[in-house]
Amino acid sequence: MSGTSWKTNLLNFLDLAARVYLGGVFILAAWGKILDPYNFAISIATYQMMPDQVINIMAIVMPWLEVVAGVLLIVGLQTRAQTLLINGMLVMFIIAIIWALAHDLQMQCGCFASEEAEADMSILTVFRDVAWLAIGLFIWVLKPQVRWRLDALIDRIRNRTATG
Amino acid sequence: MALKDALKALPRDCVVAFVVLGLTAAIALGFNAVRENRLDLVARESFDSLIFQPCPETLEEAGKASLDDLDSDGGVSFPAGAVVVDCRSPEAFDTGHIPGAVNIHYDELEGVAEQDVDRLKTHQRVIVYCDGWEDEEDPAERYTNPPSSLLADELKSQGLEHVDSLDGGLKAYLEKGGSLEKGGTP
Repeated sequence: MSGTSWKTNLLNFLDLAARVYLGGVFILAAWGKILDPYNFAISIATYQMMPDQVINIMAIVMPWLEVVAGVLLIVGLQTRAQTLLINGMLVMFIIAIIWALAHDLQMQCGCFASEEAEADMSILTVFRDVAWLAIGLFIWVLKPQVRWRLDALIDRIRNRTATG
Repeated sequence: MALKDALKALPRDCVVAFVVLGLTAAIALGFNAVRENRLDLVARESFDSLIFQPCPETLEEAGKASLDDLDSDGGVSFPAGAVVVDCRSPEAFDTGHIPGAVNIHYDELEGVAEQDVDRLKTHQRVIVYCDGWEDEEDPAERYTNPPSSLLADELKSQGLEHVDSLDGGLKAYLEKGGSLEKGGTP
């Protein structure tokens, strides 16, 4: 096996692992929120950042966005666009958590909408989200032609069709 | 190089991301419209009352006094200059309380009224009691943080110097042969 193919295989594997992990986290996080949107709305309200008028819409849409972006990220369809959505949400979460910590709000982050899955929010929650953001950025910078993505398959089919 | 490619494709990827966001919002709103426990798109009531607000931390810890400490003769009398505070509900207070006690019903969320604190400040010592009955369902929990102890801590934090909660509460008092007074002005 040449050095280049070894590196490519490693990159393919890391890409797949990162997508499955990050997508899985988002799907898992969304589950409880979809089942109990009211509770999630209260979690959003607890941050005291958003006006009451938009909280319910966020509580309805955001979990579904987490699921859709998570699933599409795992299968690798429009991967970069999905990482933009996921990284955008992560940046929003990080800002919200820092805000809550700065205002000394004693609460859980509401990230998983399940008390069993959450400890009280702390600076470690910020580090965790920053680590996920780093994984998201890693996936974002990779070329779409990385193997084991639907993007790559579509690309190959398109090239084959173009070359006749 | 890969970063350069990603940045180059950014405008197109943003458009795709917005399309995904729009379609997902449509799915989410559609699902919400047909589900049983649907949310109103705009909350009808403010969330203010639903947001958990932790109680302010109690800074001081009051002492605990047993009846034996208070009355070395083994009786149920209280030291001169001390005021006895009954922190049970006014209804419970009316059915019978330690003679001479004043009623300050303690609610952890509401705290203690300023005028109550001022009233107690005129006394040299404050002794707080609650019923002291064992909770049938969870006696351990009952004795970990009895209301009298919480009120005593709060009074201490509000600047009262000599505050104790009565160990064993009204139960211990009655077991020692103490008598009760009914009615009275809280």
